[in-house]
Amino acid sequence: MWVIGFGVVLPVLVPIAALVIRVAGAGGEVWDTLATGRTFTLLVRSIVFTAAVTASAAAVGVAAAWLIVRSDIAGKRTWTVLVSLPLVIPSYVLALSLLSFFGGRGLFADVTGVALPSISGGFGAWLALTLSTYPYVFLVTRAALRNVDPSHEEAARSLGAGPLRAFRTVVLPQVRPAVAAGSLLAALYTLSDFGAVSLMGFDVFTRVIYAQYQGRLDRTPAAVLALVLIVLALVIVWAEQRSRGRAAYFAARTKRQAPTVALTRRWRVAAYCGLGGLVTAALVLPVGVLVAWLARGLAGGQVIDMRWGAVVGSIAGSIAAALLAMAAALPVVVLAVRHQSRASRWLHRAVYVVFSLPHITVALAVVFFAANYLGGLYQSFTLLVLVYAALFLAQATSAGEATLLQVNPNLEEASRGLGKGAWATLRRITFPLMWKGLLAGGVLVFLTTMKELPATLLLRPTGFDTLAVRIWSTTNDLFYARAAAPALLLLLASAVPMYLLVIRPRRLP
Amino acid sequence: MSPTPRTSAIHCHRLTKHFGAATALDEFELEVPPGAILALLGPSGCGKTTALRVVAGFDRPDGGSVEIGGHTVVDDTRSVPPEQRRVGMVFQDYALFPHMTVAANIAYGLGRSPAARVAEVLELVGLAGLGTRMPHELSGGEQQRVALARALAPEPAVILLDEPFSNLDASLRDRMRRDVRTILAEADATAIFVTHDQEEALAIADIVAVMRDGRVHQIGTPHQVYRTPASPWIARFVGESEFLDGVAGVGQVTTELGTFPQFGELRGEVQVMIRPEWVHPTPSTEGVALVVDHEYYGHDQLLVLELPGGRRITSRIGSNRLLATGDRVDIGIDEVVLFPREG
Repeated sequence: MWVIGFGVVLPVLVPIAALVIRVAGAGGEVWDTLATGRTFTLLVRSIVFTAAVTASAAAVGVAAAWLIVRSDIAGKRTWTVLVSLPLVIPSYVLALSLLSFFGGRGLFADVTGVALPSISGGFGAWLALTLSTYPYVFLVTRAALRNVDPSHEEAARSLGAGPLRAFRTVVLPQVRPAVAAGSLLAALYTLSDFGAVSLMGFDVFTRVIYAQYQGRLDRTPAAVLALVLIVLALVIVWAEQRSRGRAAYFAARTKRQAPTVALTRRWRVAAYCGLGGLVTAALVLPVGVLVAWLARGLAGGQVIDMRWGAVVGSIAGSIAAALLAMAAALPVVVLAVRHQSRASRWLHRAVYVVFSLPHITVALAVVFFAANYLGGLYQSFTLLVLVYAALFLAQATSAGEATLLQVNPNLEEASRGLGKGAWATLRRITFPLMWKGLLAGGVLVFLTTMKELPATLLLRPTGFDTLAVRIWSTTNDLFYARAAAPALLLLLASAVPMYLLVIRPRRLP
Repeated sequence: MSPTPRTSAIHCHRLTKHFGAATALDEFELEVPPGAILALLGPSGCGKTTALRVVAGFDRPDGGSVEIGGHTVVDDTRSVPPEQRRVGMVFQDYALFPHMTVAANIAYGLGRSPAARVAEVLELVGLAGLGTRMPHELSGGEQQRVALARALAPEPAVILLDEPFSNLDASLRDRMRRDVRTILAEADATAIFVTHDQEEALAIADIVAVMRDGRVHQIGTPHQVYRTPASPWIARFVGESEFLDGVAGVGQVTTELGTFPQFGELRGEVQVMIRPEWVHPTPSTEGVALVVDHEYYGHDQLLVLELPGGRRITSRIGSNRLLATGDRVDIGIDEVVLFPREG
């Protein structure tokens, strides 16, 4: 079990260790890269950018969650689905739609003759990333808001607090861990995003690392910058962990829902406009733009330039990654939940640390390591799938964990007591009771792998193509119409599992 | 009870509240004198929690009014928000803020520099020194004390307790009942508590209001409610009871058990209600009744007596008397309560 568990994490951890050693060994050159004004500017810009996106995603996500859970607006279920759906739209597709809709050469100008100001650079990247990360905050905050015991708010009111103070001092602190967790996801997503920032032409760490890697023979600067980015990601994770207090939170014992707050007419109009605008920008605009480009391409007699190889590549890579992640998640989950020890905790932690690392840094570390030590594996499909599985293993383990934690350990003990060994018990009791959770995790891994871009760009074998890569390269070359078909296919392929997993059961995976 | 009649601490007047088709409060009337502990007793679904929530200001009535300390807090035209009503609420699940320490929970309703008052109420509820704990680090009984301390701290005009003991296990419940009563008395607080447990209501309250279908059907001291229930339903709800048919005359009533004195106004065909402890069997070889079953509880015992007609009634007697299944007994009755014949 240990072999399989560590077996998937090590291909990522060892190269990163090698990266650290390599950078440490490079000596003076490291300082030449680090101690420049450019690096400092890059660091500040990346931090400010991540903070800005996280803050706006948190504001939008919390506001939408509050409106949908606690106010008396109509159509709450529909709003929930519409507001969550942008989760399936990768940031680079959002960036693509913003770029190709606005501006002098955009779709809008093309159709109406009126040129909208173009959206690109830092502002464009901020907008695209806010729209693709707020659903993380929205989903967890919504779940947390629904779990706050309404009698807490009533207790605060009877102790003399007005409605605003009661919300601020009693409800908000209880959903704060959820908001923090959602914001952490948004921050890590932003920090590691490569597609949106590179399409928008905004120089943050990921884009510069890629440019350094592509453009220079000496790869030490890229390695140094990658390490700085890793440290930045770890600091964010650490800060979120620190922000958790010693309070214990429980779901409300009463299943009573908090009464809804009646909005005044003015606020109600504002709420509908706000939610409507959000759904328009995050969902209607990207899908509409893609459909419009596709239609225009077809009308113009252009044959859909569909590289079926990209479809096959995306699906094959994602399925292989999902299967591998599920296989590796089983031992990680069983060890972490049933055989708690120092080693199992470390393995568990390693899985989550890898998940929080920006993909481009992991990919870069693996490229260096493979090129130097694993000649045969370098740029192979096997290595790519291994990296995928390691990157997204946390998604499979967290889903499996949630299921296994609900399985009474007495069942396994009963099996042992009836004369079955550890392996027989795992096969006949534990696995049958948790495979659905693992499968749900596997679907999540599939979904995330479909959208993955930077690791694929760096690690793919020659000739291997995915939908994500096609969208990115055609958009980069301003062939928007050609990006439309693969992008729509990608959305379609992601929307189905997303619907099954998140929206239909109406609870978080 | 208060020696001189002042304005009542709480006065609910003709409160009505519907939830969809269901009627939770139906012209609900209630007056609570200052300093009294009143139990609102009724079966689940009778509207007692709704009454409490309307007084606290969490639910707005469809009609009627509530006065707290002589001030109208809700009527048909306006509703004072809960935070301005000076009402302390102790919730069934305590509703302690999970992200605040015990002291911060208690200080929540207090103004600036609350430390002295926090220490004072912690002392009052017997938790001195536990202010820095988090709620989840406390036992159920301690959490309940904190909830009570938090409600008492701002010195509200009235304390409302919603099924306060239902989350405690049996042994702790008895102790907490006594303690809560003492604490409320020491704080000189007026309190309403809601319960479906008649024993709890009779044990703690100065006044018991028996509620059914959204109305108060009887209000009185525990003694009055138990000894002179206003209806057969209340008689059954507040204690064990036996009903026999009888014929009432002046000063007496005749049943198959014999003729007993009574001083009510009813005449003719009546129902006669007897509590088991009012039934006194005396051993006699020619006794009218036969002991057919026997449950021994230690502090007392229950006998099941079969009358010549085959009817059975129970008798509760002290545990020091020895009667066994198969013994014949004569039956004496201390007192009876008469109701008109039903139907």
